[in-house]
Amino acid sequence: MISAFAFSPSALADKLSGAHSDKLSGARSDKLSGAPDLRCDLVHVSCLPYLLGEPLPERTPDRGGSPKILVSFPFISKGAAYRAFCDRFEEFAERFDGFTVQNLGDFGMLCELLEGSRKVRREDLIIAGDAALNVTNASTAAFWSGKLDVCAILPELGVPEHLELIKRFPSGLIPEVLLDAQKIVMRSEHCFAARGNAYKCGKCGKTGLLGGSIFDISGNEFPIITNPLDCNSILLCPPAANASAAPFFDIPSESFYFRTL
Amino acid sequence: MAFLLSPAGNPECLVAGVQNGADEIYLGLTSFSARAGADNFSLENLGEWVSYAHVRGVKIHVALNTLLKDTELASAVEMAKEADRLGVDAFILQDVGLAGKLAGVVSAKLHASTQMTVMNLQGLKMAKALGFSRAVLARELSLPEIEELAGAGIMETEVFCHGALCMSYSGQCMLSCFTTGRSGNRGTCSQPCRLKYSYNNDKNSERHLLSPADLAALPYLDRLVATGVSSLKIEGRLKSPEYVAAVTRAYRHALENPGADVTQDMKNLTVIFSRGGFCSGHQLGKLPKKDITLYYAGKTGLPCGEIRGKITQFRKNNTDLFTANVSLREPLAPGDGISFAASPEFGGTVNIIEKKGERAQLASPGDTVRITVSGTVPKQLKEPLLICKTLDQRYLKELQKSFAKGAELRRVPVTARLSTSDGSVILTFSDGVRSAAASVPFVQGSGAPAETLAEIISATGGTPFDVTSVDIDGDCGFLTFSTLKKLRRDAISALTSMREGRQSL
Repeated sequence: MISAFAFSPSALADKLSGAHSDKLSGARSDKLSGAPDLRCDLVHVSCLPYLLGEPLPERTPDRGGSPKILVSFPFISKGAAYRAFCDRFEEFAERFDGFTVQNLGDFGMLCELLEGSRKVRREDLIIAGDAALNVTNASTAAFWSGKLDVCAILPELGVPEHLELIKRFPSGLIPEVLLDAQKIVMRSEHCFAARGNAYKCGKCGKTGLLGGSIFDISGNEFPIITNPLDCNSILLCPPAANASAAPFFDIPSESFYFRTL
Repeated sequence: MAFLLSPAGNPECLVAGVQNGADEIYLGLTSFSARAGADNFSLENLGEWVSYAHVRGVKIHVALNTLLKDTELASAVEMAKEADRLGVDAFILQDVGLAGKLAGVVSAKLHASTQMTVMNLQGLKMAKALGFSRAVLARELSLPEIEELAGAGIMETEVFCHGALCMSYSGQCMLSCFTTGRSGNRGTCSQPCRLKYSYNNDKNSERHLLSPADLAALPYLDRLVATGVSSLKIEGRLKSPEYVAAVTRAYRHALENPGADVTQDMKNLTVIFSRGGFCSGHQLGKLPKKDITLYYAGKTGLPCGEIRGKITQFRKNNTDLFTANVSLREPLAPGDGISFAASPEFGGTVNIIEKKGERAQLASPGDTVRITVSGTVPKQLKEPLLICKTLDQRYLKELQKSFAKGAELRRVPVTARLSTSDGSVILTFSDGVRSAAASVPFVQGSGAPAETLAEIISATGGTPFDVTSVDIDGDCGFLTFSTLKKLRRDAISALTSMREGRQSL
């Protein structure tokens, strides 16, 4: 199965339509999903644009149950974005198929929100764990079994280690492979987009997700995504695909998600 | 009062931490340590150092804080069990799978590493459910946020008070792995945040954009302690024993003297190691922009003077040297290291100081002196030519005494009682929790005066114990001085053995 991460509503629309210009070849998609197009089975989407005023997507029947769209907890588990996200939990639960948690605290918070809600039931949601959960072995995966439905493997592991770990994943917990995906390489309280000698927190005039990148001395690009609600930011890895999917072709495609760009 | 937790990359650092006032020491073993580049400790020598620390009332925390592959888990568990048998007090863990395998199996406590990114109450609760009794909180928390978590009573909390800061939340950084193949999560961070980056590929903006200055909470330590945090952690398992000694000493002094002036300590710490001066991290609010070390990501030192007039460069015996007149703000002595504030990669070691034409062994603030330095000068010099002290030989030597072989600055107070019972003379030492005794047969006769006996019993120099009071209970008969000294040694030895095991202090 194919999965993806969308940092913006327009990227989400691309992923849903299958029109996104994924660097994965159609052939690779075919091998991994059994379908000749680039249609995703699962899309994680950042909550930030919605916290900044973007309308939530409609949960329409014509989506036909697939792809599933999971809204991700904020990249950093404190501050204004986090509070706003938790305040709107029921609204998000209604419009998305589930949630993606980033760390232990997110999962604990999700459990508390579910306990406190009369409307939202765990069984109606898909709960995924982001790569930030740092799952590198079957014992850690076993801890998340029964808590999550999908769990990403830390992409720092190599291809052979991914293949071994997929085999050892507990039943009921679907692994997600991020080797080809555009990964978050840094989550920081610092605002990478801040220029000059001082921050202008709340006064910089930037009210949405920013473009912009930083580059290392070799010219590798690290795109920046900022959170203007808290003036923190994340760095993404260079956008090129960096792993071969071929070794994964032999695994039954329904037993794992392969995250694309 | 919060515990003070010092780093030890090797045994010398451990001694430096213990002797200068640490309550707890954290160290790594030869594998599974997030500081693989440190010397670290082996299971063969760990027991010796656990005993050394315990006898002096200090706990040992073992950092097994890397993420583990399936193929590594079994050996990590075995290593933890062996360290547990050696009496370590806690394991610092990142890997959830390893925590699951150790919880309820080892006697040592489990501490959630800062690599687990615990930053809210729910994170603490989850960590507790996993079997952790302490969490090292994310370095990005402010004092009110720390206070909220520390005050929740869920578990002990630990925060960093001094040392290098990461740009990323710890445990959430893959930059090193994806740029160099060396994973910070697995103990081999290549520190890419200290390299140069540019915005939008504008080469003119190439700076150390991701490099924060080092943290120092010393100036507001009372506020940090007031959050109710359980332990204050000093970063630096890759640092020298002198660094561990200096930082531990400064924070111990501040903890025991709240409100005391820390100006001199801050200067000392700046010389020992500081990157871009010091900052408060995120503890007093968002990391100020000025605390990103845009122009230099290495050691910068303490501004100590200004060069007046021309610098003369020359070579002698294949060594680059320069001389200059300097107006001093801080003391300077031959052997000290200096650098140029605007170009810290240049500078060197002060060989000669001349004051009014005479050689001086020490120059003071306010003096204008001529210095001869073995080192290099930047090609482009910008006024004012501020120089920084990067090494203070006299201070270094003073620190080195504190961890020299046999140094016992950190002495445990004990009381002594000399008594008789059933035909024996018994000497008992007590540390307030445990009592250890040694005895010799009672010999009838008149002994030395009580003051003399007390003096001999109190002569515990060279041991970790300081006798605060001696109680001579009745007639102890005839005791030769050599017998009494043996009695003292035996009782001290017994108390030492009793204190070596795991203890709740």
